[in-house]
Amino acid sequence: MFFKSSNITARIFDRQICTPAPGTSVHYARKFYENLVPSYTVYEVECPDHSFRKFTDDGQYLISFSRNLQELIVYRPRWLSFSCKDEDCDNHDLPLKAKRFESFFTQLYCVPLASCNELICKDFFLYMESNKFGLFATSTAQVHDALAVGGAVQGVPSIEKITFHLLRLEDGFVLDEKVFCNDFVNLAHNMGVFLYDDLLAIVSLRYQIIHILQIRDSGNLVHVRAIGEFCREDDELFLNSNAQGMALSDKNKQQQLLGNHIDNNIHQAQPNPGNSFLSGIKQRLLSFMFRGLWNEETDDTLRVQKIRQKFYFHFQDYCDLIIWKVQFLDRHHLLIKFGSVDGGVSRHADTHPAFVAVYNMDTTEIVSFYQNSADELYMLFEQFCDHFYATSRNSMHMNFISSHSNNIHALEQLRSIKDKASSSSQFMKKMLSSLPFSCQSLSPSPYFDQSLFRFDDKLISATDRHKQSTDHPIKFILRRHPYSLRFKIKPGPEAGSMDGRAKKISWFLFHPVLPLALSVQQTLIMQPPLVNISVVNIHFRR
Amino acid sequence: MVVPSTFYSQQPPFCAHNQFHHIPERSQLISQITLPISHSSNFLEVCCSLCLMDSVLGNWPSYDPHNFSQLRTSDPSRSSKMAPATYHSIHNRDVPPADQVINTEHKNILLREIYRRAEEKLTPKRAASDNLIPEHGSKQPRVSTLSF
Repeated sequence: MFFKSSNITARIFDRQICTPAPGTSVHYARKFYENLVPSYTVYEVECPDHSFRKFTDDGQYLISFSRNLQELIVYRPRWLSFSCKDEDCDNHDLPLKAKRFESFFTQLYCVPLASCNELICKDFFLYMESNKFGLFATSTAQVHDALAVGGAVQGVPSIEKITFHLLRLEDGFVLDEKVFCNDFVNLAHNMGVFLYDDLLAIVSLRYQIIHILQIRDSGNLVHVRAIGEFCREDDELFLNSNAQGMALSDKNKQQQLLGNHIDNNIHQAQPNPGNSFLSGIKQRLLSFMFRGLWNEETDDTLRVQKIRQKFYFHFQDYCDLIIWKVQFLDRHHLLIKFGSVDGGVSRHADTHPAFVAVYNMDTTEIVSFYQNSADELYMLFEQFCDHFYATSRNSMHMNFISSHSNNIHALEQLRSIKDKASSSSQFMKKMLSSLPFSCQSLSPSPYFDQSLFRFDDKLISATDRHKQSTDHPIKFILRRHPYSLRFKIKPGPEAGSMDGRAKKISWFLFHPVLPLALSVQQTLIMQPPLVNISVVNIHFRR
Repeated sequence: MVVPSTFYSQQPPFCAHNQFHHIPERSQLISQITLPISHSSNFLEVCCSLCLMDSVLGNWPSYDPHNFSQLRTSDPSRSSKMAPATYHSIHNRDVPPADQVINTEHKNILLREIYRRAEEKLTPKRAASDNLIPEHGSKQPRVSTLSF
């Protein structure tokens, strides 16, 4: 194995004559990002007062919302274009006109999305790369103490109107809209919605339904199925046609009929007068659990004992489980997280017990069911983490995001955290609490590739969440020889902030392809007047 | 086992008759031999008795007469164990047989693993139920380890 130079010219010559090993062409090309880094920073850029959301995954657009969250503004990222007539250009500073926001971004259009009493959810954005469609959401104010009417779950807030807008990003034309009334969908950071290829899964927490929609090439949002109350498309028809007969029979007989229809050997539930039927998905789940426990024992008395202890003792708790979050594993399988009502909307759901199920939409069967601290589920998570991200096969670069399943450095990091953890079950629970993953929550930028650079995870990472900000720049160090500091990203003003005690948060928008990044630092001043000062820096390769 | 006499009476196709002058003599010898040999007998012993026998592959000469001694082309039971002939398409319009096309598995590796584990959980218990032996609890964590 001969030593390969890290000099960019040598690498370009190597590229002309050497073929990379099979299956490593993307990794080979990515090595160039060690040479082309966003090392130059333009501090405190004067930019429009917008809330910048993210770059689209193909790098074509920068999505931002107006400060009043009523309008969508889309920019096209472009590069600086100015010429220097002198010979020694590198030592010159950039001209002043190059240091403006408009030198890097061209505004394409500004589209009003929200009407007067609605606001755009600024943490929600999904991008369909194949057709360059963008999905946005607007909603009215949340009502916390909503009455549980019409099959709604008690304890889940209600929003009068949630609208999903599908836009063609080339020109900002609104293609279709989907409205949910008096419902609740968790829109923050794409938690309640998952996009896979052209399939969209929207979880209605309030009515406990998973709506599956398809985005057609024409731009229409077509309703495919609704999983929750009913699993198959003709369940409702069957039940309604038998409604007359059922109304005359006993409550017990009603449950038996439903059990036969669903084709599972569901044992008769304890008669609970006053409750209506359990929903279709709940029937599937309970019957799967019952059969699993039943098959574990061969002796009949032991079976009954086990069922009584493990199933019926907790029966009401299992019935009260609600769907928290959903993601696609492929076009036919969903990963559904169940939990108690309290954890569904709270931020700290780690303390509540939760369960994860794999559901096949076509056969309407539950394939497997785990508690969220199960060893087996953790082994699957550790070995196949990148398959849980469920990126579409069409999108190439999204399949190369570093995770502990495809990167040795990330795996070593995970193992070191695991070794340091005091309780292994607590550690597993903490890791598995991130399942199901939120859609498009990781940046595909090669600067977050763990095999290229080492950086402090607490200060910056591929996830698009706010991080604690310090005055020190964030270092990116090479993983390979010569293991040196390659570039720094410093959010906030160049000289550091005036008030060291104020709480500062920052977030980063990395372009997926170009050596270009935006950092936004927000200082929250707690004393009156309550002001948020935002500082935007642009980092790029000069 | 009967050695077909007609097989060995043919001349080798590609070699000069002079070089293998002993062949006609041998084939004459062989045509007179019918050996009732049971399957348990040692093939080598049989072949040693026919030590001048050439390769059965079209009567071609071989360096060592024992080389192809164990090959029995006339054995009908053996022919069924041979691999089926590989299909070679003469033109582009023809589709190869289903078992000779390599396809990408539709299920990704994660789902294959999930399904495999789900089936594993079912199968050992089926075997146990056949034996009708009551099991007093299982060692591996299953659905029963759920707890609130």
